[in-house]
Formats: sequence, C-alpha cells, structure tokens
Amino acid sequence: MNEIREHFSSKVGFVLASIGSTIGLGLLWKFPYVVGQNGGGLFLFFYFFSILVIGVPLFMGEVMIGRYAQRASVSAFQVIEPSRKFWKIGGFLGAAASFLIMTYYSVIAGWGLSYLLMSLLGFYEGKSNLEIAAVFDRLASSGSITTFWHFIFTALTTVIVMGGVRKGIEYWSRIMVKVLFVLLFILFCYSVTLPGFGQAVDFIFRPDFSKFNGGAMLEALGLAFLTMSLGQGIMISYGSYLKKKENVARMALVVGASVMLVAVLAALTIFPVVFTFGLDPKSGPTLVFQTLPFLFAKLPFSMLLSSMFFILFVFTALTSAVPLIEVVAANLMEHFPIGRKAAALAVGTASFLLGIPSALSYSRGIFPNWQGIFRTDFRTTVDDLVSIWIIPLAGLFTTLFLGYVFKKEIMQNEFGENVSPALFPIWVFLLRYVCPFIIVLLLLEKSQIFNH
Amino acid sequence: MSTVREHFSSKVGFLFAALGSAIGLGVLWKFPYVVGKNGGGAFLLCYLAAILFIAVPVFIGELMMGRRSARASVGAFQVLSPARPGFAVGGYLGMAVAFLIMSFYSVIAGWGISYLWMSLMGSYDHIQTPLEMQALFRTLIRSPDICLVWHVVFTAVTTLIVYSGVRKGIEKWSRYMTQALLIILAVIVVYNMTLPGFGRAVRFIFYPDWAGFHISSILEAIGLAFFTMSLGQGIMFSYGSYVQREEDLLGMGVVVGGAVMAVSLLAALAIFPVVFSFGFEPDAGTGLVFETLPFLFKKLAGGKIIATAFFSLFVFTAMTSAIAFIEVVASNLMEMYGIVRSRAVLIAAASTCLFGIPSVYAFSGGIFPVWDGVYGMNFLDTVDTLVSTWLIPLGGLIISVFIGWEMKAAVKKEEFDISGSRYRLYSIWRFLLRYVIPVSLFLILIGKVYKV
Repeated sequence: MNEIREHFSSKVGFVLASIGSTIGLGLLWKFPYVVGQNGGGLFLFFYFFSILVIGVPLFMGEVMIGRYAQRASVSAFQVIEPSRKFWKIGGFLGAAASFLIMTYYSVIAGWGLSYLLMSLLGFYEGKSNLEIAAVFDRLASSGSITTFWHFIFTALTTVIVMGGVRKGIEYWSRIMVKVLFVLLFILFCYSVTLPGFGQAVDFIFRPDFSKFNGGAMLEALGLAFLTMSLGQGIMISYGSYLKKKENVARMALVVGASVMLVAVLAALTIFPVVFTFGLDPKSGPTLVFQTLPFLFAKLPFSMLLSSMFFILFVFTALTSAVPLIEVVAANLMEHFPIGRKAAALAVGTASFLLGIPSALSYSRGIFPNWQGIFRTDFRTTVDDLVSIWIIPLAGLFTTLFLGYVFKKEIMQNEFGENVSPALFPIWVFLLRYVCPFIIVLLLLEKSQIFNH
Repeated sequence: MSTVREHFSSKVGFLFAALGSAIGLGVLWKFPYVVGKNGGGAFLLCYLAAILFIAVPVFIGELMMGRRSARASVGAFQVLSPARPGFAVGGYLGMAVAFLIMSFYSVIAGWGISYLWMSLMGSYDHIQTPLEMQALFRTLIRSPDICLVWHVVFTAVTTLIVYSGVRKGIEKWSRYMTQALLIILAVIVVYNMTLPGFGRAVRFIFYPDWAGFHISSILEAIGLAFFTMSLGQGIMFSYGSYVQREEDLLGMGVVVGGAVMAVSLLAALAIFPVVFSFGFEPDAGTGLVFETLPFLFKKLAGGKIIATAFFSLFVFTAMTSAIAFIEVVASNLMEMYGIVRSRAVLIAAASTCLFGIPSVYAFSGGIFPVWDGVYGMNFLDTVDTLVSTWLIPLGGLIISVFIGWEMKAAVKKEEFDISGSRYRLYSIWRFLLRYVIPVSLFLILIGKVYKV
C-alpha cells in the first residue's frame, strides 16, 4: 500500500481499545464463577500471578510483532522472517480464531441487545419468576429473532470497523470503555449496599485450600491467557497501528491491571445480587439471561439497574467484537487489493452467514441432528474448537516465534529505553521456556488427549 | 467537499420544508386526544409554553449547529467541537432515530394509501357497523403482501424526491404538499363547523378541565412539543445546513413554532367534531384514523369527498416528514463516507425499506412469530416505543447540553445576531438551553424509569 498506515491518535486511545478488546463477556459471566469454584482468594492470587507470567509477556510480544512489521497478523510473521513461511501458520490460526469467535459471539451479544431493549420496555413488570425465565427460552428458541439480533450486532460491529482506526475503532472503543467503567462502578456501589455483599466477598476472596489444586492452577493460567485476548492476532493488528517509541511494557501492565480490576469488580457486582436471594452461583448465559433478570425485577430501581447492566453487557461485547472483525479485515486488506470498507463488509457478511447455524442452534433450525452427533450444540462446538485447539496453538506459535525466531537485537531495540534493561532477559526467558510449557500443558489438559 | 453546498432558494421554501417535516402523523392522531385527556385548555397552555420555551430554543439551536458547520447531525458535532468528539453520539442518535422512524412510518403511510384508494373507489361503502370496519382494517394489516407493496411504493416516491436534491426535490415537493395539506385541513375544518359536534369538540379541546391535568401532564406537554417540532431527529441539522447565512434563525423558530401549534389545533378541529357528532368516544392512533373515522365519514353528506380529502392529507403529512427522515440519513452518509447524494439516498432508502419489512409483518407474525411474546408488543410498536420513549429525549438532552455548554459563545452570538435589544433574547435563549431544557428532558427520562 502506498498510503501511510493509519495509527492510533494517542497512547490512551491504544490502551483503551486494548482494554475494550480484553474485557469480554467471559470476564463478566465466567470469571466470578470460576474463581469461587477453584479456591477463591488463592485462585485469584494465582490468576494475578498468571497474568504477569503469561498474559503480559505474550501481550507485549504480540504488540511488538505488529508494531515492528507494521502488518496484520499473517504477513507480520512473514515480514519478520521471510525465509521460513512456516511461521505464518501462527497468523492464520489467530485470524481463524477471531473469525470463528465472531460468528457465535454476536449471537450471544445479540441476546444482550434484546435484553437491553426488553429492559427499556419494562418487560419485568407484572411477571413472575418463571415467566421471566421463560422469556429467555422463547427468545433463544426463536430462530428468527435470534438471527435478527445476530444481524444487528454484526452490522454495528462492521460499521465501526469500516470507520477506520481512528474514527471507527479508537473513537468508539474510547467512548464505550469509559461508559463501561462508569456503569460498572455505579452498579458495584449499588451491590455494596445489598445484604448478600458479605457472602459474595467471602465466596470470591476467602482462600479455600481444599479446592485449590493442580487443576485449578491450570485453569487460572488458561484464564489469564484467554482474558488477555491472546492467540487471536488482535494485539498484532492493534500493535501495527501503534507508533514506535511507545513503552509497550508499561501499556501491557496497564491493560493487565485493568483486566484484573474489572474482573474483580464484575464479580463483586454480580454475585451480591445472586447471594442476596440465596441462590447458587452460576455462570454463562443462564446467569445473565435468566438468573439476573428476575433478581433485578425484585430490587428497587429494577428498570434502571437492568438497563445499565445490559448496556454494560452490550458494550463489553461490542468492544471485544470490533477487533475480531478488524483482525480478519486487516489481513484481507493486505492480501487482496481491496480497501478497508470492502474488507470489513466482506468479513461482516461472512461472519453473519457462518453465524446463522449458531443462531439457530437452540431452535435446531439447521442441523437438527448436530447435538446427537457432536454431543454439544453447534455454537458450543465452535466455541470449544476455538478455545481448546486454535487459540492455544496460535499462542504456541507466537511464543515460540518470539522466543526462538525473532532476532533478539531487534527485540531488545523494540523493548524500549525507558524500561529497566534487567527485565529484558526475564521476558525472553518467559517467552522461551515458561509460556510454551504452560501452553502445551493447557492443550493437553483441555483436549483431554490422554484421558482415553 | 469541493462542490458548493446547495441551499434553500428562499426563506419561504425553508419554512414550508421545516413545517412539513414537523407536522407528522403524531399531530394528526395523537395531539387531539392527548390534549383532551390531559385537561384541554390547561394542557394547551402548557403545550404553548413548552413550544415557546423548550422546543423553539432547541429548534433554533439545531438549525444553528447545522448552518454553522454546514454539516448533517453527526458532522455538526464533530466540526463544532473537535476537542470533545464524544458529543457526536448525539448526532448518531439523531441519525438512528430518523432511520428507525422511517422504517415503520412508511408502513403506516402505506395503510393510508390503501384507505385513500378505498375511499376513492368506495370500497367500504357497504359496511354497516363499526365492527365490520374494524375487521376490514385487521384484514388489511394482516395482509403483508399488500402492505409490502405500499411500503415499497411510499419509500420509493420519497426517495425520488430526496434524490432530486435540496431545491428541486425537498424544497419543491415539501412546498407543494404542505400547501395542499393546509388547504385540505382548512376545508375540512370549515366543513366541520356545520356539524352538530363542533361545539362539543371545541369544548373538549379548549375548556380547561383541571381534573384531567396532573403534574405528569407537564412532562407530557414537553414531550409532545419536542416531538411535534421534529427535534432530536437530526432533521433541523440537515435543513439548517441548507439555510442561507443572512436568515434570522430566531424568527424562523418562532414562525415554525407558531405554525405547528396552529396546525395541531386545526387537526384537532378537523377530527373531533366528526367523532362527537355521532356520539363516539374520543380516541387516538390507528383505531381512530382507520376504524372510527372512515365509518363516520360515510355518514356525512359528501362523505366520500371528505374521506378522500382526509386520507390525502394523511399521506401528505406522512410524506413531508418522510422526506426529512431519508434526507437526514442520506446527508449523514454522504459526509461520513464521502459519497454523492444519489448513492447515499439509495443506500438510505434501501436500508430503511429492508428494516421496515419486519414492521410490515408485525401484525401477521410472518417473520418473527413470537416477537409479541418476548417483548410484549409487536415489532412496529417496539421500534416506535424505543424511539419516542428513549432515543429522542436522550438525543435532545445531549443536543441541549452541547449547545448550552460546549458550543463557543462567540459562535452562538454571531449566529444568533445579538445586535441591539436582541442581546436580552440571546441571554434568555442561552439560559433555557443551559438549565431549563436539560433539566426538563432529564425529568422526562427519569419519569420513564419510575413510571410517574
């Protein structure tokens, strides 16, 4: 391309876009539950440690690959190491992961949009618990409505990406991440006043040695890896929009710290509500679309609470979905002679179409026998494929590339002068030995390859 | 853009366009009923005050932003405050509102076309009871194929007008249709004076009934004033950008405000005398226009002419507003993506037309069979409620805060023209936009949350 590559207008813009990308739905609805189930405070502590050991180093590495190559994920590997095309596979895997995630992410986020609308219409009024819970079943099993929202969410994301790095991604990520923080804080303050707050603190923070074992440690490492948006080519793309000279290590730490902060805040916001009504903690769509709505309905200011929560939900999803489309579109732009708008439109369309089976997976509109054959519904199958295989593999490629292929003089140079030089060998050590080891362990454990 | 921006050819041209867009279906079928229900004369006074102190100042502000920036709603915010790009959300909201309203407006206008046709052909002359009339209307709205045809036809005609540009399209046709509309309205009112129910209608509308007047009526009056002057819909930004620099915005605001008020009262006097003459209860919305009125028109001397005139009025009312909606979406698209008018108009129209299809099917359940079950109302009503309850007041709030606090005082003074004694008016205007209007709109939003 002849034109000058568009860059983030400022460091803050990059950091906010990255935070938006890393804070995803998993953090909102999975993290609190996993923490409670795996030993509370101990797990939390180990998760923080994992963010530092695996999350931050790989995050820095991905950003540097992108910034140095000034290319999106696939060609970035190629530009840095032209002689060995093999490493490009890492870039392909990352782009594939992003694309596949987007196809089903927008289905779930679409339900979030629907619940936002329902909150604004005041659908809680005069409904019993069972009726509120039944609404979700009706929604999820209505293929047409789910597809409608899947379309709307994909379209919103695509339009943002079409706007470009500054006017699209940076602009909207900035606004949404700020709103997200404010809303989370307001909801958190509200949760503090609830009677279940103490129990939630207990559930999340109290160290429980009986539950904390090797499996829990691995879970924490995996969570750290997933919550930092690694192995999806995202930070490579975002890094390529970064100007040289920025202190990558510090930005990675800021992002890592924000993720931890938001994770804990989200847990302390959601679980007090659940415990106030004496219910068992849950995770996933059941928590968000069935448990929380009928609990909100019983609390004062229900309409306001529920609307704010679902705005938070939608913004969380949207800021994470934007880079998913962006990664694939950026790669397309570099391999084919098309502009940003055409590329984003193509990716959005493809993602919408490939997401339709996920949207219909509850109504069984397509592939009625899928569940009988693959043992999970279509959406979960794609989710599992990505999180068990593709992302860890892409991460493995990336860390090996950084540790053994990327020239150390260049990396040292890219590391920046403002950072203590003593940290550089530690970083390289982590990338060479610790990260690959952990990722291989994760792959073996999650895929249960030796269980049979 | 290198081309010179097209402008309205004259002040009168602008006034008719603005008036045409402001007089929407709400004026016809909602205003009379709301006035009567909320205490007649007492409410009218409130409405008058709301037009003067809430709607007219915002109207002037929107025009000012459009004229000064020479941009549509989104661009206006961006140009006038590059340092705080977050405000542009207000512009995006306006664009979204115009898009969403247009999507279902053309469906309702389509019913109007059907009734115009039926009146001309005498299709419902044989009907004897109100129940049969009701059944006829139900049959129509449950025939998506017929409704789809009119939906497409109405959108296409509107598109053609906007396609032709500001002077040759919008200005010319708005002027013709608004003039026709006023004449028809006047003729019907004069005819109504001969009816026995005229006196009762006048009493219903003007006589202050304090029993019907509550605190919430004040908020209702503000909302109605805001809505009937087409504010928060991005329209006056686009139209303002076509207003010549030497025109006096204050004068224009007052004239349009007064005209809207007068037309609203005329509409009430055109409809309620008929209703009262036959001892029917006052009503609003589709039931009034498509069930009660056609039945009653039949009983009048020269009923066929009156019915035909009324439904022509209905369609013109819808179309002069629809022109503005398409224009808002198209002019924003032109600036956001740097495309020419013809292309932007086609994209805008095609997308509102597509998004309107679920509204076409809203009553027959063809596309989203369980929509009503999930959201408690059909698709068309859902979009309507979302827009009028939430998006318009929210957009208005952002606009008034922006004009009151963010826009530079020098710019405002220059645009307002503070020569001589007008400085006092300017101070009042600024005070209203800074304090009175944001607080009122905020109260309206809060009222929605707490269901006052």
